[in-house]
Amino acid sequence: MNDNKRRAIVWSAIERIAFQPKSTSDCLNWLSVYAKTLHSLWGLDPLWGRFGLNDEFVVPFLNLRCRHVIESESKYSVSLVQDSSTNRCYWQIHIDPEYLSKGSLYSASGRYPHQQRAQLQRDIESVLDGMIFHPRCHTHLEDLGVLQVQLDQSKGGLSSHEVRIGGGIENPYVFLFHLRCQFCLVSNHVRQTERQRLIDLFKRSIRDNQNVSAKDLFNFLR
Amino acid sequence: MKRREYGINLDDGVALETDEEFRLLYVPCNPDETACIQGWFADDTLESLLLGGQIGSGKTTLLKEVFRSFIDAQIITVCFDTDPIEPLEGGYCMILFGRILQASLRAGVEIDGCGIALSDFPSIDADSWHAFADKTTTWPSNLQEAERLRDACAVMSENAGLVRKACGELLDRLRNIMSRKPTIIAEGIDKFNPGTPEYFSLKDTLTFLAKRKTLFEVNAVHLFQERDFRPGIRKLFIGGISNDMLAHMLKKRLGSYAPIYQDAFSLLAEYSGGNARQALRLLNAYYFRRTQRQNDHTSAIALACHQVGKDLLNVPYGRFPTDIFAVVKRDGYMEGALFIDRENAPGANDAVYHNWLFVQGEPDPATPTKWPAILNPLIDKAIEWEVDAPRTPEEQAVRKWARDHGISPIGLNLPVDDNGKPAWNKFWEEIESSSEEETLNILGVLEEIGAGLFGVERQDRIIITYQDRKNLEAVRDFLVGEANTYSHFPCEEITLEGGEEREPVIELLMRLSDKDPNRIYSVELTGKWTNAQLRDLEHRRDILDNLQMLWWIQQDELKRYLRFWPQLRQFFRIYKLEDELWRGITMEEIQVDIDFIKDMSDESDPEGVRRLSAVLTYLKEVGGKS
Repeated sequence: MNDNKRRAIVWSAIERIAFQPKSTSDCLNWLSVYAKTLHSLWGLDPLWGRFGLNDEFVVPFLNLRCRHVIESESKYSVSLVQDSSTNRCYWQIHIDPEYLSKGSLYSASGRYPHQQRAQLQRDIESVLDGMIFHPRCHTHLEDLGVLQVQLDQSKGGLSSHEVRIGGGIENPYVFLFHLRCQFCLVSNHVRQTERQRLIDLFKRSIRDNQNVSAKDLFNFLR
Repeated sequence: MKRREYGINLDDGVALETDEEFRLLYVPCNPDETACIQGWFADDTLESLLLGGQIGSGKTTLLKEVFRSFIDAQIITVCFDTDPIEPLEGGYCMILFGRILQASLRAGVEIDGCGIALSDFPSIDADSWHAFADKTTTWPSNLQEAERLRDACAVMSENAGLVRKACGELLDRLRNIMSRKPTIIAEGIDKFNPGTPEYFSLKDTLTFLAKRKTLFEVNAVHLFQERDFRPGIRKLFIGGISNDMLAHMLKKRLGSYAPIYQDAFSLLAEYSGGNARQALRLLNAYYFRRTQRQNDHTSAIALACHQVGKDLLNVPYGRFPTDIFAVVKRDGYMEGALFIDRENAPGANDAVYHNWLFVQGEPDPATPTKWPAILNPLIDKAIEWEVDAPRTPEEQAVRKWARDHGISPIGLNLPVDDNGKPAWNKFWEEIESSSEEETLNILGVLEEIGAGLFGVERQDRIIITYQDRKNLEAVRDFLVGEANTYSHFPCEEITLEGGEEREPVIELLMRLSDKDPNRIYSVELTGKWTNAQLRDLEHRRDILDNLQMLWWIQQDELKRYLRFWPQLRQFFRIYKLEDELWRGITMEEIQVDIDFIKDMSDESDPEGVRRLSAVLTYLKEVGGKS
């Protein structure tokens, strides 16, 4: 099987096992773990307790407010708003499943080829980069008018230019998860460590054909 | 304490301790003093030394930093504030003898014949000197054990001179074996306000130690009490830290995020008066306001000053040394003689001991009695002084915001009496009354204390004060339950009942004998605490270091207690609960949290589920909002 076919399978598998909570309660738990662990990846004191399906949170170091409304796993909207009295909206996305996209026309079929499992790690790396860390279609914050910030480079801190807001992400949980990683500017080392953790996690889960719980996805240590 | 490698590391100004903390957060603010102490440790010919500084000046951190390079040296550390079983002469003698005994045993010194025999203290029930050393240097684990130790203390009190003589004998034997003078660190003397009975009980022990090679950790006020140690004793003063150094310290605390908030550093440093802890607490409050409450820079500065001034400085007005204030404001220095002069000494002591004034450094040799000093900026900036230098636009903006919002101390003008002189009483009354209104419901408290309660990267100590007790158990269960939605945080409930015939401090020592930094300690103070009990707790402040604590104290009682706690309050933030406690909390949300913990926990009966279920039951009983 060629690279693209294998990676399409991996992409679908990752979405299926980690980003498609089933019941309302599963969705709320997923969002709660998301809320309770954001600070940890970003190196902050705890700030958020739980998020609902229609909720918002502030990214204090970017002076941004992120609002989301999730109607289903294929219908949602997200806004990035300036966190000040002006409430200036920088950007908004609506995903409406009533209409087609190229991605929605394609569904990966078949299983990951057992005999090519040596390729699994590289396939996951590619997929996670496209899905989460560096979406092919993206916009930078400064292009939206957000004031650029540079965290302390001597500590490995990144610039807000390193935030890439992905376009065409049709799953709300993938989108929120990708924001979590994009807004992680505290240190490139932290970003790379998180990337590697996710690669290892998905490698194990796909190999064992296991779902990824929110607890594991967000490294929610209890 | 676990710290973040790249991110934010805030706290209320506790001393640094671990290698990780020093690597990430230490700023060498006092290189000359550090070198001086290092030299003192290394040189056997040097005699005792007073290391003095005001509360929060960074003495303990400095000592620990130096100590790290002498890790293998035979140093005897005696913590006179935290470790004695009781704050009487016998208690101080017992801990001193116990520590010297430990060091002697380690070095293979022969103990018998030192002037004390095991049989002199039958209540300790030790069959060897090793057992004796263990029992006299560890906190009791039960009341019987405490009682036996106190019996032994009583014997030591009656024979204090003999016990000290035995200590001297052991130190001589130790010197002979090591071929060098034993070095003693007398920690925690700074917690003893001169003039208190406990300090009086300690004096003879201090005089004894001053004849040996001892480093005393003292408050700045003790530097003027050299007769309590040894006439002519060498003194080393840790003065105010420069604004540049303070800014550097704040930068380190914010890790990678420092550039985002760096515009605030100069003003925060300015309002710190050179005091490290005040700077860190201001930063903590400022950061909270910016991130959690989304206040802008100006209002966050004013509110941070207000919060820190309220927590650290505000005491029911009693003997506020207004004359000294006025003179220091005018002259920029404090006469050393004020600390000795019978009439002015109590006021001068209070002003320095409570950090109302900051002594900035040692006197210039040309004017050896004039100690450079300033008013604490959190007080000073609240006053409209006629002769003040013009303010920067930034300062003016902060003051205007505070004035418009009726908060103090920044922006609050000092009331003037009929003669046009400052009416200090009214000044404190205004601060007091403005903070009266700042009550919070439970969700508000949760928001304020969440940073410490929900994570392992910091442990905060919080006092929650209330008018009517009502059902505090449900409030506590709610806070602990919510913490358990983040991680597993067991809670230890402690009730400390004060009053005659009660032993609340011993009770606390017993409960903390096995300290766990991952535990939430919920401590309720009840009964009528005596002044001596309040002072005893004050001295032992450092045992609370690095513990997550929620203290519950009735509002009027707390006002009385705070007068005794200039040290203890440094480790706490104080919040007032409003009467409408449960506003904004629904039973559905609590049920969601219960289900969440059940889903996430591997335990069969998670603590968080128990706590939140109890809250749910309570709310149902009282007909809470659903």
